[in-house]
Amino acid sequence: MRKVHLLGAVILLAGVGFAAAPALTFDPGARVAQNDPLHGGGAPAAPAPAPSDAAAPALNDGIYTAEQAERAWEPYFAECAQCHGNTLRGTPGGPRIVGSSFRNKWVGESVGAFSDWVRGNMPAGRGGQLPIQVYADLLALIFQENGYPAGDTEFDPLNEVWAEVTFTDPPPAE
Amino acid sequence: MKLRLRNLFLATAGMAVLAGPVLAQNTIADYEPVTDEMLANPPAGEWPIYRRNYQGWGYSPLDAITPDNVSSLTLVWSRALESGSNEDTPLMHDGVIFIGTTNDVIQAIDAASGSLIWEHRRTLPDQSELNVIGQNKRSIALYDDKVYFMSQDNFVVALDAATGQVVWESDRGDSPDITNSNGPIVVQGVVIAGSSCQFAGRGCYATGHDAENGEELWRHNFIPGPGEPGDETWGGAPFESRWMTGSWGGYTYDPVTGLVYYGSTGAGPASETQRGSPGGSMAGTNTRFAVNPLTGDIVWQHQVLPRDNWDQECTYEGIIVDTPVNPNPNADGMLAVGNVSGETRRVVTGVPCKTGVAWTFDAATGEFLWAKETTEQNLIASIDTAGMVSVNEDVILEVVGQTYFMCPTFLGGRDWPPAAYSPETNAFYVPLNNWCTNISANEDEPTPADVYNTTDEQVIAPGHENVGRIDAISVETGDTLWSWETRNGLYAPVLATGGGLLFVGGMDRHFRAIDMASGTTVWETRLPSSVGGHPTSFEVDGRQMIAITSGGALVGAFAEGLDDSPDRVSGNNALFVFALPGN
Repeated sequence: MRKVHLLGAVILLAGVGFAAAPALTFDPGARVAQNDPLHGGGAPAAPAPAPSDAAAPALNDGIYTAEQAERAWEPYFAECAQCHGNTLRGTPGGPRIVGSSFRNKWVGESVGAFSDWVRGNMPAGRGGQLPIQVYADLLALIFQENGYPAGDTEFDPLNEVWAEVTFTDPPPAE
Repeated sequence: MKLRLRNLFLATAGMAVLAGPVLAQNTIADYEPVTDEMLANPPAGEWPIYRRNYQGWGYSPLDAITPDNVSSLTLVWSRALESGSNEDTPLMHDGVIFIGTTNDVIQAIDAASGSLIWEHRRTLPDQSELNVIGQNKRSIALYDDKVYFMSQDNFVVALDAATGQVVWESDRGDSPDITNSNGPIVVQGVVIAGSSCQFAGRGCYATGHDAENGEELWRHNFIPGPGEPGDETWGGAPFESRWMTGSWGGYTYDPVTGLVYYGSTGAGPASETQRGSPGGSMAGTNTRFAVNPLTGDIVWQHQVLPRDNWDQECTYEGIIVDTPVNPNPNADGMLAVGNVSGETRRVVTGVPCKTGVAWTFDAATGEFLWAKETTEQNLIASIDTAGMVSVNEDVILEVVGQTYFMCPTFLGGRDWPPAAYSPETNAFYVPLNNWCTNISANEDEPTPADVYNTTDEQVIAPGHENVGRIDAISVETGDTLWSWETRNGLYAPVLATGGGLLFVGGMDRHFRAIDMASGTTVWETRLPSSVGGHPTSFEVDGRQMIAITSGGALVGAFAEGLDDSPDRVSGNNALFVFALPGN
């Protein structure tokens, strides 16, 4: 027989485990705009300034870290899996977000556009409501599961440079 | 309604070993056991089973709330529910609301005050090891002195209704491949439940368990094995490639015929080319079954959609009624009429598949009576007078990667939200969506985790400006009496009442009352988040109540796509109870 709580029910605190994650640059003004899907289309306004003379990172050199993607699994199961499934391949109630479904929609579009769309619209009905660090990690997980390689620098969705980086087909799996 | 004393029974055992806050647990004094008769003919003021009676009506005879006074409805109480998916049904028996919610949290709540009496919180594996479909808990079941539910990890569980303590649990196995979203039905001492099978690299089943001790009495596997009848209909696909045929819609029971009614789903992946079953009708899929509840023996069956390439899941509730059978051959959308002559029959009726096609059969024999389409559909080409379906070959997903235009979508037509039936109008009221889709089979090699392995671009059905819809359909004639529309997709169950009203939620956060006679909205209020729960009605201290849950909606993502949609919000699950102003 399965162990069952005895009479007393513990109120579970649904911590999603990102307290220990390194902090990213965070602009409260951007967050407010992002949280207002009625008046902002979900796109964050005035992201943190990025170095204007920095060369755009190359997608296939790694735009996130493996650790970042790994710690995204916990919030993924809490916030995303119900619609997108345990393996990001979708459910009857939500679309697949890896493989050809992702490529067909986003190859040719910018990483920034994808990042903004996710932050503005997901989770469905609660766009913008997750902490920016969690969005950053979840985006890293999506990149990883679509075959884009990890690198040495964490993905920062507030960096303006992503508007200049375009999704290409991921490199063939080794 | 008698006044009840709740004996406070503090949880000393739990408190001794568990750190952190602990809720006190009360018990229900002198709990009145639920009988078979009660589930066939519930007391007027109660809602003791998923659709209030075995026959699946979703109808309360209470008539205090009418089109004339519904505008006075006021909130009596509300209470937060477990966070996550919310498609819940508040049952009410003996003055107590029993509700199952996501994460396998089962609660007993005083219907008068909204105060928690007891809570059962199942200890589950980590969500990463579970089937996400099972987060939906559309209903639980009351029977005798117990509460029954299907757990996310595919157990049948019996609780003591008075205390919430586990009496027994029975593992059906196969988690996380297989789970259950709709809950069980208990008939003649047997707990009967289907299975959600969307991630399973195999077929699934319905089961019957002894309500007293949890012993599995029978198991009905839907997909035929090698050499079994129907094996030859799978287009040469090996048994190992026959995936995902389950049964997760509403189960109903007819005390007159003594049969349980349920339906099976299609198969995955969607494309028969990828399935390796070209041309196969796939016996066992999309089939309506009438089954002996004690043995699981099939008394009759009828496949309502062969050769499914479109996830059309013919698993939704069959409504059982006595009715004259006079189908109108000229009714809008009528596809076929059987050999009928106006006689009164006991029938099983409703919209069993996402196709939106309404079907009516003789409940005892399965004889085909009539079928008609409701929403746009291009999957069924024709149905003959025996109810045999020919599909539209042009939309078979034969070429992988090629885009086909199909109506409806994977979400219907209709989907899981059940219809309601009123005996006063002899009509049922079915929630629908005017969706079509451009669909293509993904070129990726399908695995069970890929489910149907397609990419879809949803569009509003041609000729329509609104997505959500409720059709009122005469069970006698098949005529559509009226069609109510709303801009947003409608993923919300319908309640019918003796006061001539329908109650229904919406993704736009509205909770509405619709005049059953005219199909016009007569009252609406707005709740904090999307309203996808099952409205129910019952009486507390002589006062008619309307209960509804709002909160997380699984299909929120798919229902996007209307740029002008009002502010949809998901989350913050809660139960609301409304009534006319009291003294």
